[in-house]
Parts: sequence; C-alpha cells; structure tokens
Amino acid sequence: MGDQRHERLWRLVTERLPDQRAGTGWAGVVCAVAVERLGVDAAAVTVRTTVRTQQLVAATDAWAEELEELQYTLGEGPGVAAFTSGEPVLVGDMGTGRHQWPGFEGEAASAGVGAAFAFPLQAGTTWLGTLDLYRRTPATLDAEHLADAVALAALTTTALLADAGGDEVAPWARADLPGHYDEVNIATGMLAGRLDISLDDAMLRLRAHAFSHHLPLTEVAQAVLQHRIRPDTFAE
Amino acid sequence: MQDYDWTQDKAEFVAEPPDAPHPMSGTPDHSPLARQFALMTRTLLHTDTVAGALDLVMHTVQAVIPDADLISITLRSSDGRLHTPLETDPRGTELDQLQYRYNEGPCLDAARKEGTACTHSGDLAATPQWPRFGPAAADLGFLSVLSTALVADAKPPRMSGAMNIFCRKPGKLGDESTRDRALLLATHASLALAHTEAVRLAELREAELRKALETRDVIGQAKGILMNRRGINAEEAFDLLRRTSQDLNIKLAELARTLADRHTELDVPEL
Repeated sequence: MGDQRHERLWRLVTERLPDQRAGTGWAGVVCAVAVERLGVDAAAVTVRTTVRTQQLVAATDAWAEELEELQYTLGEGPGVAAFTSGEPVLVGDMGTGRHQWPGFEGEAASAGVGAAFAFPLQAGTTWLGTLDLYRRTPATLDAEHLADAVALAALTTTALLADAGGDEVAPWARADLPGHYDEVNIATGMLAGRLDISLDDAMLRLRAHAFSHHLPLTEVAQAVLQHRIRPDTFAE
Repeated sequence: MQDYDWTQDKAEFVAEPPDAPHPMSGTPDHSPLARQFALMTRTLLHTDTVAGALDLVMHTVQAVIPDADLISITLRSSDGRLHTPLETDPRGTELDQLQYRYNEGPCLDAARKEGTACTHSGDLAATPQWPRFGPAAADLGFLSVLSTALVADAKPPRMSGAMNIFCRKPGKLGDESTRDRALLLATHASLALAHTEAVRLAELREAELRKALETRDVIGQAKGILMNRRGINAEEAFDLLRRTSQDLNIKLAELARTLADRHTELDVPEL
C-alpha cells in the first residue's frame, strides 16, 4: 500500500525533467507535483541548517518565496517548526490566532495564507529541511492528500541528494554560486564591518528592521547594498 | 547475537508437519511460516541498522529451517578477507577462517559464482568440492552446509558475501524447500545491506550539502566585509577573495571564514 503510493508519486516526478533555466533541479519538480496533486496553491522546498539559516531551493511562485523569506526573517513559522520538531506541522486555518508564532501569523494573514503544512525532510538520522505547502483558503489536508504529502517529502530528500551529489550538481547546491539570500549575507558583512559588530549581531539588526517595517529581508538588504538606508539606522 | 528464545521458536516450527506447504504457496494467512515471513518483512521495514536487519534474518532462518545448527553471515572485503559480523555460534568465525586459509569452501563459491546463488554439500567429510575445508569442517562437527550468496552484484568497496547454514547431521539442507527458504531470506539480508549503504550515502551527501551551503553564506558575508572596507562592488569583492585565495594558497572557503570570524579584531593586510 505504502509502496504503491511511493511508486505512483515517484513516477509522477520522474516522468518530468528539471527546469534547466530555473536551476531548481529535481526539488523543483517535486514542488510542481505537490501543487498539482495535493490540493494546495503553492509549494516550496527549503534546506535548513539551523533555525536562522536556510536556503530556498525551489518555490512554485513568488508568493511561496515570500512566505519562505518571512520565516527566514522571523526565525519562526510552520517550516521552522517542522524542522526543529522533526514532525509534520499542519495548520488548517491560519486565522484562528493560536499565537504559536506571534510574528509569522500576522504577516501570513496579511499575505493571504489560509492554511500551511510543513513536512520535515529526513536524511539518515537528521533533518535536511522542509517541504512547505500553502493554501489561500483554510482547509485541512484530507487523509489521502496527507499520506501523499508524507510520501512526497520522502521523495524530496531523494531529489535533494540527487541534485547535490549526482553527475551534475544543481545550481542551488553549488557553493561557488550565489544563493537565494546572497544579498542578505553581503549586507550582513557590510553592516558588521561598518558598525564594527559581530556578523550575528548585524544579521539580527537587519531582521529586526525588516520585521518592524513590514519589509522583506531581501529588500532591506538591497537597500543597504545600494546605500538607500544609512548604516547609522542600524546603530544602537 | 540478541538473546532470542530460539529454542522455543524452533520447537514450534519443528512441530509443523514435514510436508507443510511451501512458504510462498499454500494459505498465506494461516501458515506459521508465512506469518514468520510477514512478521520479518514488517519488522525489517522498521529496522535501520544493518546488524539489526541481519540479526532478524538469522533469527528467521533458525525458525524456518529446523536443521540449521549454525548460521553465520560472511562478508568479503575488497582485499579478499572474510569477515563474520554475525553468527549463532563462535565456530562460525572458525569455519570462515578455515575457508580463508584454504582458499576454498561453500561461502567462497557462493560469493564467487555468477548466477548460481547456492552451494550445498551433505557430506563435508568426503566432498571432492573442498578437499581441505570439507574434512576440517567435519572435524568441527558439521557435516552438511548450505551457503547462499549475498549482494551478488557488489562492487568495491561494497562487500559481497554469503549466508551460511551448517548442520551436524549428514545429508541435510539439500532439499528444494530449504533452498527456497534460504534464498528468500538471503534476499532480505541483501536488501538490508543495500539499504544501509543507501542510508550511509544519504548521510554523507547531507553533510557535504550542509557544508556547501554554509560556505556560501560565509562567502557572501566576506564579500560584504570587503565591500565595506574597500568601497568595491560585490563582483570585485569576489574577485579579490578568489585572487587572494590563490596567492596565499588558502581555500576560498577558509579565507572567507577567517575574514568573517576575525573581521573585528584583524586587519588582513592583503585584503
């Protein structure tokens, strides 16, 4: 039974090819299959190493990208929670105000999130990241979709490892190419140098600024790089 | 080996009539053999160590092949040595060492032959197959043997091997039903070995991936530090990092990390 499900989803993934232009590898294919099959509006795969360190691998649209970045800014949300607990996190109605994530819930509501589901990606004995699914209207995942999502998360791990270690390493996994949040890292370095503070401290100040001004972190980083925000703004 | 109550288990299966249905035919829901196989398959799915999986397979062998007096798993490393990671009796290692010493024996045959998965002898004392190993094994008190190949398609550094079943009585372990059961169980053992290899590979790649992504973050931060210090753009900062890493013969990642870690205390003259 479980094997049949796994095989069916495996076929759905492998009958497609990775989008060479997007550079999102097999992880991108898994996201596309998730949106098609699981009754959700958007999907994203994020590799996480700590609560505060993440790398967006693939997202089906700008909305999912924005929601992943929101979690990167705040260090909280369904993906972060699934990664730290190692358990799926299922929020069928984001608007119930459970105050699990005081920062994320409000911002997600403004962004029009009705429901969010996050699945940890297991690799050996650790977690590699999460498969995050978003709906615009509130609804739980039915049993069938939930089982498919769990199986698809297992396939996502395989997809990531294939992207990272196959004959052809996908652009998202290459250390020598800039990552999705490269500007944030550069701005962090600039700010740390300018204010003579630690990198962690610099990152924290960028994040605080983004959160308090309701701006995406990458936009704040761009503003710093283009000298549109004075570094003094971040001084204590 | 774990402390299973093998004796009791074995008694249960011996109690089964000798003409019991073949494990893969007959009525799967009611045959104790089929139940044993089903239980093993289910348990295997939740066993994540190779030792645990092989242990379970051997336990099942003991249960479904009543003539099995000694069971061992032998793995051959790329240097040709024989390793005996699991055995129900310390004489399993001894038997393997004899095969290694004489360079002949059922386990070597099973692992060596292509296509033939099983090697059997019901008369170890006088078998022409293994003129030296045979009598030596008989001296240890074992007169029948059945060896089944494991991971037949192994390529270095992965090891090929065999699952060996020994019986103290002559003329045993040669019937078709025993052979079928041994083959089926050896398949499970091979799968367990292959699966563990995959898990290990996943962990390895996962660690590499993690490192690559962390390196990338640090390179980004180092670029920012240089941009601030030199008033240059991101591309120029990356070029400077790369050039310096070549000039100083330090890895780019290491250079970036030093710069990121020490930027408040050090003023690297080259940068």
